[in-house]
Amino acid sequence: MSVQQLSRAASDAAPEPTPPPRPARRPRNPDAIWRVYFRKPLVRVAMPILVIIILASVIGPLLTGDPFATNHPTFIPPDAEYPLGTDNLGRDYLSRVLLGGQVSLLVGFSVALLCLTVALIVGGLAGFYGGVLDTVLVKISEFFQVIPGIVLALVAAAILGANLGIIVAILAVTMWPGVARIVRAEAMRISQLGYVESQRAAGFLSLRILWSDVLPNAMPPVLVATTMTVARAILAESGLSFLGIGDANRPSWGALLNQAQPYISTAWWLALFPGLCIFIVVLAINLLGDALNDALNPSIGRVK
Amino acid sequence: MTTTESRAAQHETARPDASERADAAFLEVAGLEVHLPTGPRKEIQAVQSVSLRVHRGERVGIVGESGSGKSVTGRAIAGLLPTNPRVRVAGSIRFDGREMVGAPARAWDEIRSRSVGMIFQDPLTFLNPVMKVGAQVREAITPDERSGRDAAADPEAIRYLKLAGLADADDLARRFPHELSGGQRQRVLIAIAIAKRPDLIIADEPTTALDATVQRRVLNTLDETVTTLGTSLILISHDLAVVASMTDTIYVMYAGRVVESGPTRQVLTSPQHLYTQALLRSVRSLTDDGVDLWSITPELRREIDAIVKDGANA
Amino acid sequence: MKAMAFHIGKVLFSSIILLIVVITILFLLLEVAPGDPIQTLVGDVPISDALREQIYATFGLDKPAWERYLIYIGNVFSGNLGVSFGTEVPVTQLIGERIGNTLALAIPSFILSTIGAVIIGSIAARTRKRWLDTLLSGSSVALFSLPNFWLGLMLIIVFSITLGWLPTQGKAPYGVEGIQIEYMILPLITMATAELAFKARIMRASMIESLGQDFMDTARSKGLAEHLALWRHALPNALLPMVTVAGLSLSHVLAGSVLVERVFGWPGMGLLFIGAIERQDTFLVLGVVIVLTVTILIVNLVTDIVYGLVDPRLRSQVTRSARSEP
Repeated sequence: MSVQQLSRAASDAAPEPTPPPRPARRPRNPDAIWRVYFRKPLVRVAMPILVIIILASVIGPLLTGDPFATNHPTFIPPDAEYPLGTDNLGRDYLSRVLLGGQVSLLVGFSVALLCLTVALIVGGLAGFYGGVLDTVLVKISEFFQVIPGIVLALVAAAILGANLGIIVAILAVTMWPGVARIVRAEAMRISQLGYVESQRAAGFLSLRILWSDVLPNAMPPVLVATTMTVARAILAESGLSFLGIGDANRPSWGALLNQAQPYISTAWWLALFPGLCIFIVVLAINLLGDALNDALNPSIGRVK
Repeated sequence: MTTTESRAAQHETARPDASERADAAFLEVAGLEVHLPTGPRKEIQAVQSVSLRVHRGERVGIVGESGSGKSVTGRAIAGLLPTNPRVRVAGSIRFDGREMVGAPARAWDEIRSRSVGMIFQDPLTFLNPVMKVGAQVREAITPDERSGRDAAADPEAIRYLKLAGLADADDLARRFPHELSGGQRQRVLIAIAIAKRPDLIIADEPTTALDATVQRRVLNTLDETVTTLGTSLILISHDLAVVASMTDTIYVMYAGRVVESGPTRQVLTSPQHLYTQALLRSVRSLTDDGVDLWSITPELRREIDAIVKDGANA
Repeated sequence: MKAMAFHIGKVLFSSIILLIVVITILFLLLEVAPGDPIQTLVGDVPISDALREQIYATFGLDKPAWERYLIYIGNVFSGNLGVSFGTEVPVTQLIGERIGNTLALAIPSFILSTIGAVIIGSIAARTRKRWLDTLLSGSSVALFSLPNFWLGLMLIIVFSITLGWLPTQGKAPYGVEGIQIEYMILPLITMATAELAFKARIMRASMIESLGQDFMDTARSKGLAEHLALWRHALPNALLPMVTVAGLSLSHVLAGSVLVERVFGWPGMGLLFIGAIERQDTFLVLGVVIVLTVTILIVNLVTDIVYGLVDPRLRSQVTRSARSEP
């Protein structure tokens, strides 16, 4: 170790209570990031759980029978024949829960995808060009920080009606500013970096710089925020449908909880399983998001 | 502890009546070693077998470039290294013969509340932003000397603020740190350090964050208060001029080791070590406001490096 | 003091703008709603001719959209939120009867969760990397992922139905006035838990940051015992960001009361709101949203004032910015 290194290290270490992490440099190679990511113990637990639940929701109903058939006895507690019991109309609850998963997951992922798209466009333009659009974006996200989105979503759904598309749209409207704020901050930071400025000076079309340099480099924190948005959207949808705002023909986990509440004193399983599914899925997604954050920014995740 | 004691025994063993003898040191540091973690599995030895002694009323300077281990040494003496289990301190630090390496936190609290005061580098960040400065000085005063009902306007605290050169302390004591100028804040830190009437003040680059004219005035104040109170001083600085004007004894540190020590005048007029010589040259070659210790050439640095390592092996 | 008043004035102004935006959104929602506006307003409820007249008069339904918009805003600001369709009782009166119940639940759970979060967050920050910290951080993520209303349902199953310790629904036995404490316990726990996790996480981060600040070294250099340094220096600084977070959390609690009140049949504003949505009692729905918005804006205003009072740096910043402006 050279003296310079030694002295630099010593001076770094001395005044801080703990040594500052090395400058956060993201591993350039995406493969390396994923390798780090999939090696994390939490990912190794959460990822299979999430994948299993997604697969079960998509394929499951084909195997477990008709979720709408009422030809079973009513209020059977979980047993060998009906793993999750049956409900008040004699429907197989396992099929119902799996079907509910379809809706919940569909809403969660579509909302996140919509948010990501809108956020990339608005946040990217706002951060890259600044100006009026930027001011407007900041104001909008301040607005949604103050006014609780779920209340607006409730009103909107109550007035506009509640099919799946409208629910997704409403949730996306209340959630995109959160992601856009991050895109904006990143776009702002990146567009001030040397290589972007030099490209601008060289006369490249700004939109092309935004598309090919700024946005790709802004992705890491944006991906983390999007992951968290999936979780938040699933939770928000479950709240809405628990309150009875949802697609009556396609009951999500929240809607199942809504239907379970009247029978809570006799049929505990009706309330237990859909909620447990929401909890596990949201927890898995949150953990995956946290781990992604760690993998992309090794310095931030580490507790100093 | 056995290694520590044997190392300490090579030097003069402090006796209970040490303070009464003119040649006995109030502070004795012997074979001090500090390891600091720099990463999950990495660490560096920031201080290597440093020995120094400070007599009552003596002023000692520690010079060296940043990273030389001088600040770590100063903090180790005050027991103010990071509270991280991976920070390891070995060797011996004795106040009036009382061994502090490995001492419990309570013992350190007692030493810091009575014997040792510390003045830090950045006057803004080292003051609590949400506490009035008077109250911050008051905390450093021994509880039975405190008076006044208003914590921010303790007459004792105001007295120390005045002693530290803040003439309008009655007013300033009720203000918050951000309402003071940099020089004023540094004087508040001095007031905090002297308010316990310590035997020793450790000043770690006390004026580096201030501009040149303010620096001079704050140093004069530090000089005066130390003289008035008869306190010993360890002045840690990269600024040779400052150390030369204020200290009796000087220690030159490089790469975690003391490479040269002795009476300040002697070391500065006839430096023995190549690094000290280089240090002095680099100061002389530049104007006063452009002191640059990093102007030592890489070739010279390699040479110094070799000498320091040889010295360690010998 | 003058500067503070100026600052408050500024925040008040932006709050009013925000309220107008909310009203505008609500108005636009009514406009884009499918079908004829009176049908949307009235829903499926059969109404009397007198009421129809009144709706026409109040909302000027025969007038062009921009004029209706102005009339609507004027009505809201003069405190006229319309009448409930089913009962023809003024919306303000209905809300007034219920808002006390909502606050009786929201405020204690806010206070409890804030105190709990400060304690837990501080402990976690102090003991980081040890098992307690891991446990606290872990359970915080878990609580964060928990659908709050489902937690309420589970609590009912365990403590009310299985163990029979606590009542399931309402705020007191049937026909009894007021609120009984055993009816409050489960809703309080449900409401406080999610907020506890949210705030404890932030408190922990804030405390870790405070503990790493330089002034903590100064505190140690004075020989202050560790608990004194924590109490006098780290904690006050760590609490500063918590003021803003607490304000945010109070609006979470208020919004979340819709779900919790539904789970426990707690007759507050949230239950009123759900009922109104189910009955398509549009005036009542809009009224609740507006009252909720105003409440949240007041909370924000208070947060802002408190922050200005506790952070001396901001206090003088406010003074400076007020001076610099004409």
